[in-house]
Amino acid sequence: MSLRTLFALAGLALTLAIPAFAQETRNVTAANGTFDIPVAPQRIVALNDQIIALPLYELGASVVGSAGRVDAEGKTFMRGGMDTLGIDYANTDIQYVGQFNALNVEAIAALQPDLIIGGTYTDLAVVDQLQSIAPTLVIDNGALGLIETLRTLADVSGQSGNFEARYQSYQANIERTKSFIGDTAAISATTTFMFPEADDLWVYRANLGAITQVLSDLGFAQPAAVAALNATQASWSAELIQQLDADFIFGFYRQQPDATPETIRAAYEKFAPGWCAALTACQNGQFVVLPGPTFGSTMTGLELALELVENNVAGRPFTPFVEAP
Amino acid sequence: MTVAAAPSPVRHSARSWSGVPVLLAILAGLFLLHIAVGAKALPLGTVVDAFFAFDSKDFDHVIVFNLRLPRAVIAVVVGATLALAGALMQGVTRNPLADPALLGLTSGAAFAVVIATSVYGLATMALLPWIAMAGSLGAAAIVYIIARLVPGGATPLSMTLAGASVSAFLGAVISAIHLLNQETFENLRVWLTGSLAGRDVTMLYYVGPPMLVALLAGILLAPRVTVLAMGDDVAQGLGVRTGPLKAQLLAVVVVLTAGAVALAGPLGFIGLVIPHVVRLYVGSDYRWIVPYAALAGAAYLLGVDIIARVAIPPREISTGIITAMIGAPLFVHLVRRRTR
Repeated sequence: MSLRTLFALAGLALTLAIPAFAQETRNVTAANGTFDIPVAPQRIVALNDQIIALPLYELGASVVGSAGRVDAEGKTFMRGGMDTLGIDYANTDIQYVGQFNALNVEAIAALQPDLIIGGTYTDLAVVDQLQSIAPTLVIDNGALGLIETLRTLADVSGQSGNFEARYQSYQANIERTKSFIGDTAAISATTTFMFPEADDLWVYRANLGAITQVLSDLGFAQPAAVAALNATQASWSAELIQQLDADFIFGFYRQQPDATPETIRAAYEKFAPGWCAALTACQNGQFVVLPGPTFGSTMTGLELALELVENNVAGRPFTPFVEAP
Repeated sequence: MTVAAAPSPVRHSARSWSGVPVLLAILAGLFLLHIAVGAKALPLGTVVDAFFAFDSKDFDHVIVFNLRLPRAVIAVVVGATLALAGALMQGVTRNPLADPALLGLTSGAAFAVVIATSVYGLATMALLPWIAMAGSLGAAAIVYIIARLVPGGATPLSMTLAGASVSAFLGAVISAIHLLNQETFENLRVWLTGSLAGRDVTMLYYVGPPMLVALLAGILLAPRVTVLAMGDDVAQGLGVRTGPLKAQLLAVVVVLTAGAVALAGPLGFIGLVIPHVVRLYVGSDYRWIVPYAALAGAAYLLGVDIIARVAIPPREISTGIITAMIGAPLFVHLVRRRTR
């Protein structure tokens, strides 16, 4: 960091310190320590779009800046923003502050935030720099899981009431879906993820945003090989795809511009030729590709994933998977 | 640096002939093993049935015929061509560190493919090998020009340094493109590590013919590489027109490298390590080094890919990661052995 940048940051920190004194503060503990933060932050910068900015925005928090992505034409956007909440930089007051792995510290400083929120993926050296601008919290979403991550984000942004009300509604809907399905533990589901290039197939035991949370909350079972995974996810050999057979197999589209239902289905076939014939779930029309927001990290994603799972599992007859002898 | 690759008296002819059937047998054995074993344990009878009584509804047959067999074929082609290209480059440049990766050819091909697919959205597979070739050729030209411009000219050392710089630069540009276009770049993530998984065997239709021609040309030109490896002055004294010969060899190396990159991504260490292993057995006569390197390279990549497929089921490791993990220590061992 140049001397000039250092002075600029110090000057900004000094300027920001004045309104900060005026705000009521409280003590919170995050993955990177304990910090004094405003009780009701007014200018939050999110260091990740999909995992932090979107849930904060939907809960009503005041987000002034967010990390984002750059598309092939060089246009910045928030991943999942338009897809999930209908928001982007263009139609909100949220400013672009770089990418989650290439943050623009000076752009963040210029926004005069009173709270900055990142994750374990944020460069620790950058987090240290940002502490001189505003308290910078690291939220370990992998360890917390989706619900506790959302609860933590709501708590630190002063939006706990909104979150708890919406979570209560979600839980009620989970119970409704369970009552439609019956014995949910008797139903197995596999969560897979594929890119159009078909280089590798990812299988998730947990932590693929809303969808794995919904399947877990519903109490669905997983194939033995998936349940036995130590990690929350693993790339899967094409030779072993029959280990993934279940009542339902879920895949996803809209994870990137060229990921359409058609290209994703074609990618599975390219990855493992004849794969559909090898899996009873696919043969029975129970391989279901879901849209991108269902693996996102928002309450909206949870509600959408639940609706689609309910519709596919309870909303039509299906053929139960019978394991080959 | 020139000492290690300089030819010693040719004294291995009888021994060299004897090694060919042995290598062919090893290659055939590994090819069969590659098809017989994998992440899923299949009875040998099923493997045999897949060839002689193929049933497209039996997924075990599909595994053997549609997954393992094309992958084994691609491993043979890529391993053979990269090792042969490395051997030729080491002979031409009289540089034991020369290989398509170190001299920027692999990065050039990868760079061109990345630009064409992620920036310009190219989806036509038929053009991919030609784009990779243009990238390789461009990188080779830049490396040569840089090496020529430094005091002392294009020596093995200056070529190596220029190649490393160009490779690093192109790698940095690829990373920058990744940063600027993260979404569509996801598609190339695995390919850039060098992988034989999920490769499209139809790519062989496009790259196979030029690669076969280059392979044969490389073997035919190999005797003259032995003379060239003695130095330009000696070669010219023996009546070899070094300029045209080098141009022909460069064309061969570019076609082989670009084809291999188009098929499997930028795989490292094969072109560097295999020729050194082969030299331990056949000496410094490129008449033997070149075909031996092709056979040994094919066998090596088959063996490495078997490990990549069965090491930690249900996962598969990118083959490029294993070639680097095995290739790096193996190369250090070879260097230590030669310097003793």
